[in-house]
Amino acid sequence: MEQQNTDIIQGTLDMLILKTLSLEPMHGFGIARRIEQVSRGVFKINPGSLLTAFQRLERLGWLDSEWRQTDNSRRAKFYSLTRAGRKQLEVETADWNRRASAIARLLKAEA
Amino acid sequence: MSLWRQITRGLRVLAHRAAADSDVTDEVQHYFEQTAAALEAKGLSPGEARRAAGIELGNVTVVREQVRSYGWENMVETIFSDLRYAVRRLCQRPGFTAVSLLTLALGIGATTAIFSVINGVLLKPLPYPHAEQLVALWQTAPGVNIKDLNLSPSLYFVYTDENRVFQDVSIWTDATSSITGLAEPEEVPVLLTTNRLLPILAVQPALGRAFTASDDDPTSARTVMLSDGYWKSRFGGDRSVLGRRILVDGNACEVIGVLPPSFRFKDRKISLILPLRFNRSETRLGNFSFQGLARLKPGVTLEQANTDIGRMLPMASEKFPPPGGYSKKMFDDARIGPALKWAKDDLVGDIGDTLWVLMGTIGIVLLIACANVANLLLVRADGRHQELAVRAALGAGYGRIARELLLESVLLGVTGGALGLGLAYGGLRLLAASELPNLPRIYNIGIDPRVLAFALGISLAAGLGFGLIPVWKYARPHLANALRSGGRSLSRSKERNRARSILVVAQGARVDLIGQLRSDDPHLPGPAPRRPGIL
Repeated sequence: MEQQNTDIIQGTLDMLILKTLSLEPMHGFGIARRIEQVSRGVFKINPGSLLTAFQRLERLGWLDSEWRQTDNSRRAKFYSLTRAGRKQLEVETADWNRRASAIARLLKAEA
Repeated sequence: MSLWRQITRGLRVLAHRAAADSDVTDEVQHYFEQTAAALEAKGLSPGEARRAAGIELGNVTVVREQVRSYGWENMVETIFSDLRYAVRRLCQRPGFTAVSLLTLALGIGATTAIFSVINGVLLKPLPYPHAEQLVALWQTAPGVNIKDLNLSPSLYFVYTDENRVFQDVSIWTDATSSITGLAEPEEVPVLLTTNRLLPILAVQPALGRAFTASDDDPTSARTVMLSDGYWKSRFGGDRSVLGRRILVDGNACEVIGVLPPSFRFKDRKISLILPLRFNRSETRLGNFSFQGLARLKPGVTLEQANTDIGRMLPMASEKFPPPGGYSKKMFDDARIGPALKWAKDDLVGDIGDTLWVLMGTIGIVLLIACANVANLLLVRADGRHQELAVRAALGAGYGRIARELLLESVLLGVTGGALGLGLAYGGLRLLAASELPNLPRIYNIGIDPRVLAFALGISLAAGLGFGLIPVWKYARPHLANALRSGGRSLSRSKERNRARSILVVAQGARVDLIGQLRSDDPHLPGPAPRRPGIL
C-alpha cells in the first residue's frame, strides 16, 4: 500500500476497462480492483473517472450494463463487453502496442 | 449507431431523471461500500474502514455529481431550467415585458413585412423553369429620342431568322376582344402572340394542344386557347369544349387547348390567347407596337445578346421595305440600337431602389426599437446588480450568468419576433386586399420559408444584440464594487450611466438620420409620397 501510485496514463482507461471486461462481466469496484491488482498497484483508479467512463463507453455501444445480485446478495451494476466493444479492444490494443514499441525503440536509441 | 445510442440514452435519462439519478447513487454507494469492505477485510474496524474509504475515494457527492453530469442531456436540462427562470422573471414584470414585446413586435413586424415584399417582388425568380434565361426584346432609338423602343414585326422576323444567341423568339401584345355567341356578349382581356411563346415559358396546356406554326399562318383556320379561369367560369370546366368555336371579334375561332391554372403571364389577367397571324410578304419596317420575349441559349450573357442584336438590326432595312410615306433613311436616322432587359427587371421596373431604401429605413426603425428595449433591459439589470454580484461571489461562472441574461433577451427577441410575424402577416393580407395598383407581382408576396428564416434571423440578432449590452456590463464581476454600491455605501458610479448615455446619443443620431433621409428622398414615406401606390 505504501508504494507509489500513478494516475492512469491519459487515454488508456478505456482500453483497460475493455480489456478487464473481456474476461467476464464485472461491476465497477471489481474492475477498479482488478486493474490495481494486475498492475501491482501502479495504477490508481479514480472512481469518478471510472464510472463516467462506463457511461461514455455504454453510449458508444461498447458496453452493456445490467443490475444483478452479487455473491453476497447485494445489488450491483454489472458491465459486459459488446461485440463492438470487443472489436474496439483489438483496435486499441494494436494501436497501443504500436506506440509502446515505438517509444521503447526511441528510448533504447537514446541510450 | 453510437449516435443513435447517444440520443436514445440521453432522451431516456431526460424522461426518467429520478430513476437515472438513483441508478448513479446506488452505483457510487456500492463502490464505496465495496471499498470499505475491502479495507475491513484487511483488519480495520468498520468505522475506520469507512473513514479510510472516504479519504481514498473523495467526497461521495462530488463523485456522484461527476458521473451524473455526463451526457448532452445535462446541457439541455440546464438550458431549460435557465429558460424557465427567464420566463418566470419576465412574467413577474408584465409591464416591462409587454412594452418590450410590443416595441420588438412592431420593429420586427415592419421589417419582416417589407422584406417579404422585397422577397416576393425582387428576389423570387419568375415562375418559369430557368427564368434567368428570359429576356425582354427592347430596343432604343436615340436618333428620335426614344429610350425604350418596342418590337416591330419586321425585327421579330429578323431576330427569329438570323440570331445566334436565342433558343426561341416570340412576339406578343395584349388587347381586349369582344366575345359573342356565348351567354352574354363581353369584353375580355386577350394575349396575342406567336406559337413560340408558350414553349419559351415552358408551359404545357392542361387540356388539348398548344399552338403550332400553322396556327400563326393567316390563311389557316382561326384557333384560340382558353385560360383556366375563363374555361371554368364560362364553360364550367367542360372537357368537351375542345373543338367548339367561339366568336372573337366576330371571327369564329376553334378552341384547341386550355392553359393550366398555374399559368401567369406578367401581371396581366388574360382570358384567351390568340395567335398573331402576320403576313410576312406584306410586312414593312416600323410598327413598333409589340413586345418581345426570348429565351437565351444557356450561358449567353446580356451583353453577348445585345451584340448579336446590334449585328442583326441593320439587316431589317435590307429585308423589308419601309411603309408608305417613309424612307429607309428615316429608319437609319433613328439609330436603333439594342437594349435587352432581363424579363424580371422588365416586369419589376424601377421599383427595386424604392423598396431597398424603404428596407433601410425600416431597418433603422428596428435598431431604434432594439435600443429602446436594450435601455429597459439595462434598467432591469441595474436592479439585479447586487443579486448578480452575490451569485458571482458564490461561484456562479461568468458564462453561466451571461447565458442567463442572454437567454432572457433572446427569449424577448424571439417572442417579439413571433408577434411581429403575426403583424407582418396581417399587414400583408391588408396589402394584398387593397390591390395597390403600382406594385408588380403583388400576388407573389407572402410568408415563405425565406421570410420565416429572415424573421427568425433578425429576432435572434435583435435578442443577442440588445442582450449583449447588459451582459457586457454586469456579467463581468466587479465584486467588491457591486456588493458595496448595492448597499448604497458608495455614490452612484459614473460607469453605471455610461452605457445608457451611449444608447441615448446613438438613438438621437439615428432619429436625425431618418429625418435627413426623409427630406432627401422623395421615395420615402412622408407627407407627400411620390408613389402612393407603394406605401
